[in-house]
Amino acid sequence: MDLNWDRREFVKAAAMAAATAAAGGQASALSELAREQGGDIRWDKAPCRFCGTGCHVQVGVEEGRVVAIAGDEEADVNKGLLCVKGYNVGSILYGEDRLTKPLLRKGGRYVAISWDEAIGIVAERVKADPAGFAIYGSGQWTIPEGYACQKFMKGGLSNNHIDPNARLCMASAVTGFIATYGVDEPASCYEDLDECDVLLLWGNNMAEMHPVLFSRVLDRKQRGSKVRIVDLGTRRTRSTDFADRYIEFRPHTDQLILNGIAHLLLKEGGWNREFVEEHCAFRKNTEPLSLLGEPMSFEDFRTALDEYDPESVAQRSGISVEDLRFLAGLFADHQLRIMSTWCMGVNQHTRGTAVNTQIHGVHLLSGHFGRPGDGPSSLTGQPSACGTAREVGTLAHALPGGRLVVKEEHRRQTEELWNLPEGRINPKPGAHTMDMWERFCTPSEEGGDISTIWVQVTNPGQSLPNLDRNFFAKADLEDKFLIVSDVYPTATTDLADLILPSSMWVEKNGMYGNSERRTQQWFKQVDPPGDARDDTWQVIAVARRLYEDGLEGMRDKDGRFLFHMLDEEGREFPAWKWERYYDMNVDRALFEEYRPFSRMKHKDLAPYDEYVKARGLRWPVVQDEQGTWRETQWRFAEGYDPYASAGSEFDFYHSTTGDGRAQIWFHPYAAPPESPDEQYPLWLSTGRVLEHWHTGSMTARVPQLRSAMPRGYLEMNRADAEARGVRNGDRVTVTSRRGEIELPVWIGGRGEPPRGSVFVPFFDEKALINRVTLDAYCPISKEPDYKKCAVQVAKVGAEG
Amino acid sequence: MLVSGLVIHLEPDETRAREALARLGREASLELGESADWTRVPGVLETVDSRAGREAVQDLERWSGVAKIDVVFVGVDSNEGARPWT
Repeated sequence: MDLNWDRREFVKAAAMAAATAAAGGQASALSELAREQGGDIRWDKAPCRFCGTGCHVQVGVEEGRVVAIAGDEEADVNKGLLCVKGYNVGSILYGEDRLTKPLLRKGGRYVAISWDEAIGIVAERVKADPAGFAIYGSGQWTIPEGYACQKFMKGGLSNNHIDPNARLCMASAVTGFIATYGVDEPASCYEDLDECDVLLLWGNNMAEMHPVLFSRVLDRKQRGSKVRIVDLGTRRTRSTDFADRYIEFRPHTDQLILNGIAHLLLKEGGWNREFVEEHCAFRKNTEPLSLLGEPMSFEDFRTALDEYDPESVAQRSGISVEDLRFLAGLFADHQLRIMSTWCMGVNQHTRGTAVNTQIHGVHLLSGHFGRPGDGPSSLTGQPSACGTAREVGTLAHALPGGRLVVKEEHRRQTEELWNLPEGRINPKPGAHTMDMWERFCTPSEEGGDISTIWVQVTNPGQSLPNLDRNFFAKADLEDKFLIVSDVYPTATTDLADLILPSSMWVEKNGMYGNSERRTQQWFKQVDPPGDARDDTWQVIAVARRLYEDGLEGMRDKDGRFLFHMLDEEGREFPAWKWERYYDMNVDRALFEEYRPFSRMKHKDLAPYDEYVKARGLRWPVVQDEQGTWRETQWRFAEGYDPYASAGSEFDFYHSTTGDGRAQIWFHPYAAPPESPDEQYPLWLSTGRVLEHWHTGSMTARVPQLRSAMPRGYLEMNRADAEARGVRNGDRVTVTSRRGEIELPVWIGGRGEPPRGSVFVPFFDEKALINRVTLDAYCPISKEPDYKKCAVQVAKVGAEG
Repeated sequence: MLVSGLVIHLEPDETRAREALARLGREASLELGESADWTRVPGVLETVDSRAGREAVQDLERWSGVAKIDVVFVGVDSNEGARPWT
């Protein structure tokens, strides 16, 4: 029998089964097909490795290798569909240059060392300067990975210098939710896409960044639904192509537009008096700015908005009075169901917290909240920014379960759950991302007191803003030590002193939490290459080495190892021994230890085994009287949220005012820290593209994605290009006060900035646009603004 | 070889959609399946490699009567190595 022919026929049958199911027809499940056809491919579920949407895929494995990827028709998120990155996700495992050995920099070159030596080096760096040791992690950490790091640092080293790259993308959404509702993460869910009458995109190129979600709305339109898409942006994108109305505003003026909408709602009676009186309070900021601000009266709120009349907002923002009235008119129509989505355009903003609260504010002011299809919904860029960074709380000021290190009660709760001696957890917040890298890149003798950073699952050498200052300055500092756990060489590993090869995605067990509060689980399906090992194991192994070396922090109050685990026979399980690591499900043990934290802010998680059965569950997940674990679609809404009190209709039970009310904020417009001028006359915005995920370290290894989008580019308006004598494809320099890079120009391409603006994606490691960007950040969320800085653009070789 | 599973979305105009369907049925590299909803047709596309697969999908999307195509399955060919960036 020709085995190749057999396999091909089987793969074709599997492809037809997946396509038939996704098209809405009946098809055998892939696993059934495998049984019926006798194929050798074994199928199992996993969430996609890339963005925060949380699509599920079926992974086909044959002879220890991923050979097929199918959209998972049982997954509510994607219903069998995938984007171009999703259906190529299997190939990210097989780049030719996977890191397979621990590598130590010696004399300017890397030499392979053993894991034993590598773990010893990390442990020695900790012991040499425990207070100067930091971990820089990720919204791509699995939940158990982030939890292990969190416990190691805060519970073990009494050191709060741990922060995730989510600081660069989601921090303003977090502070926006907390300032408004007293608790983080969306009240909404993806079903809103199926129910809304209007999808309002706030600087959000959903067609490229969250294409599967966007396709849910496009699909409705195609089937005759009257759903409208309104795109508010500073440049035309692929999303604009599908929009019913495009409203272009000047960079940074979103604050004006939101105040203008609120002004009109109050002035012309479009606000929802009943909803506001019943469920809302008003708040304004203090000087200096603070997360919780201070109360203000309704009348003061109305007065504060006086100056945001349509004419002045139109004049300053660049939108027309008609467009502003159109937007206010949508919110004034209380029969409509309006879904607002946003992502980096709002979050990466020096007033990111403010703009987040303002979007929530116009929804609350008009009562567009809590009904299916009707509410604000921030989207995440990473697969577990919510599940790990935000819920496990791997932020410099936080503990799991919404606990804060500054609160004694919270520290005591955490110490109790971790069985630690009282006082182990340090009350002082650690260094947030921007602070961490500044202190690392500053010479020790000048106060740069962070001596070692261990980077996991992220690529700061490409993604930090103002890279020369915040990353590459390390190159001249010999006493600073950079440890990087990663799967491929990156701009970050280029500067590393020690590189640790990691397992990725289905090479390990994992759990993620997506944008709609959905916690997802998967099992290891293939072995990692060479000596690559799980990040969780790496942390536990370092902790164990420190325990064996006598570091007190690695013991609980009974003298047991910090990561003490028992196997099914009740014996201590040696999770630090790699050869034994998969004899037990360490993820399950860590998750079950973490789970009690989830109940502290009503983000209840189900037992691990419930997630094994499901394609994710949205918290709070509570058990009903029959013992079934039920997820929650809409939070705070009576009838959906099990914690909303009876008769309340809406119950904001973590209200910062303690009275069940959400806060509607007033924020005055604040100018950007840098604007175009004579020397640097153009706005620069940066972002992502459909084919590449973030810094491209995985997607660049996939031939079809790389060939579809091989290089970075600069998008420029045709008139600006002509004024500089630049034609399509010409190389230009883009220069700011911080740095300069060279790129080809793309005119009339996928996106189209207006005159006076340019756009550069950040995926290309050969053209690091973050050498140019500004590192000013929101004073509350500490999230930098990658969307606005001043640059000049000149044709390469042109004089002057 | 690359095997792709597709959902081909046809335009709501039934005449144009039926013409597109007939033409799709004559495409040698494409095998069409059955669906309860005639505006969404499942199909399997075979191409020599992933680049050809992507180009074929882009080409099909330009056809009259075809609204868009979702790729929902990709059989990864182990002979096709993924290259590093540099």
